[in-house]
Amino acid sequence: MKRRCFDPQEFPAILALPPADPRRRHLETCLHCRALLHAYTEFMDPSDPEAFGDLAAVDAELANRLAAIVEGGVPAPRADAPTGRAWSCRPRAVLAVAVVLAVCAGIFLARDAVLLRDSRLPAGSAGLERGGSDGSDGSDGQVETGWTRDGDLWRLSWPAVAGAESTVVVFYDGGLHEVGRSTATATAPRVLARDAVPAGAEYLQLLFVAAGDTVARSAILAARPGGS
Amino acid sequence: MLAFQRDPQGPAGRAAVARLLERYRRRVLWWCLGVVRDQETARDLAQDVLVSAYRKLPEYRDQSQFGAWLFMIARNRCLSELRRRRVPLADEAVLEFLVDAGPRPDEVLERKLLGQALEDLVRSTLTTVEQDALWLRCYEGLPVETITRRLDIQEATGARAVLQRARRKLRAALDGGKGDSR
Repeated sequence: MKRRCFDPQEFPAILALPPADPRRRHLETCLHCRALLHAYTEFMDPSDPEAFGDLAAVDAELANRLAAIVEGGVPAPRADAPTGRAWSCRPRAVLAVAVVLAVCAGIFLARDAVLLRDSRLPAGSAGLERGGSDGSDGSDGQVETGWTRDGDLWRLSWPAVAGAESTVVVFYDGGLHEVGRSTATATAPRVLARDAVPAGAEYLQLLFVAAGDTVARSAILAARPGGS
Repeated sequence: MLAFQRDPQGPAGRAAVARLLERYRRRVLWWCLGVVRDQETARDLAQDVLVSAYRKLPEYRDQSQFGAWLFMIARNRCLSELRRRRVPLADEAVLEFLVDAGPRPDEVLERKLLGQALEDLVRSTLTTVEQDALWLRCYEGLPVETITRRLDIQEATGARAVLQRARRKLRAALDGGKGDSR
C-alpha cells in the first residue's frame, strides 16, 4: 500500500469526486485501492451469502454469545487477552483441564453444601437481585443473580428455576472463550464460592438445563468479584 | 451509537450496541467464513471481531462510516488469522510462478507486493479483471467464488480460469525478463 492509498472510510467521498480528480483516479487505478474497494463492497453487500451453506446454527450461536456479552455488561476483554481458539484448537488439553476444574468445583460445591446447611449464607444479601417473588422465572429468559459477600467470603447464589434439572456454570477467560464448566443437579446447593472459580476464568455464566435444553441463563458475570 | 457513548453500561447503551451488532453480525460472519472456509473458525473469528469492535467503540468517532470501520477490523483480523495459521492464501497453482522453494506463496507475494516491480509487471501484463482477481485472491484472501461474483466474471469456470490465465501470463513475463530481474 502506498502513502496515497485510502481507507474504506474515505471511499464514498472519493467516488463522489469528478473522474478527473487525482484522488479518484488513484482509487480507480491503484491495485491496492481497487481491491480494497471490491472487498469492502463485498463486505457491505455480500453477493451470495447462501453459497456458504446453512449457517443458521452457527449464526444463532454467535448471536447468543454476543447477546450474553452485551446483556451481561461484561467489560471488554483486555487487549492482551488471548484471542486464539484454545477450546477448539486443543480440545483434548482443554477437556482435561475442564474435567479437573469440574472436579475441583464439585469439591467446593460440596463444601458449600455444608456451609449452606449451617445457614451461613445471608438471605437477601446486598447485591443479589432476583427476578420474581421466589426467584424463579421458569422461562427461557435471563435469571438474575449476583455475588454476595459475607466477611471475606464471596459467594454466587442463584434462584431455583422451575423445570431445570441441572445448573451448569460455564467459565470463560478474558477473551470469552470457555475454559471450563461445572454441573450441579437441581437439588444441589445453588451456590458457588469464589474460591471454586478455576484459574484463568475471568467470567462465568449460569445455564439452567432441562431435557438437554437451556431453559434459562444468567448474565455473564465477573468470576472474581473484589479482584483476584 | 450516541446512547452507547453516553452510557456504555446502561440499558440504553447496551440496547444500542445490541442493535448495532445484530445489524452487522452476519456480514462479519460471512466475511470470516469466506476467508477461512470453516464455520466454527469463522464463528470464533466473527466473535473476536465484534467483541473487538465493542471494546473499541468508545474510541470510535466517525458516526457515518461504522461499516467501513468494522470492515477494516474484520479484514485485518482475518488476514492475521491466515498468517498465524499459515493457511495458503493462494489457489496453490496461482502463485506457483512466484515460488522457487522454501518461502510460502503468501509470504513471497506479500514481500513482492512491497516492491514496485511486481506491481508494474502485473499492470503491464494483465487485464484489469485479471489484476483485480489476482489482488482479491492473494492480497484480500477472498474465495474464488466470491471473486467470480464480485467481478461479474462470466467464464464457465469463473475466477479460477482468470487466475490461471494471469498465472500463465506472469510466468511468461517473468521467464522473459529473468535475465534482468534475477
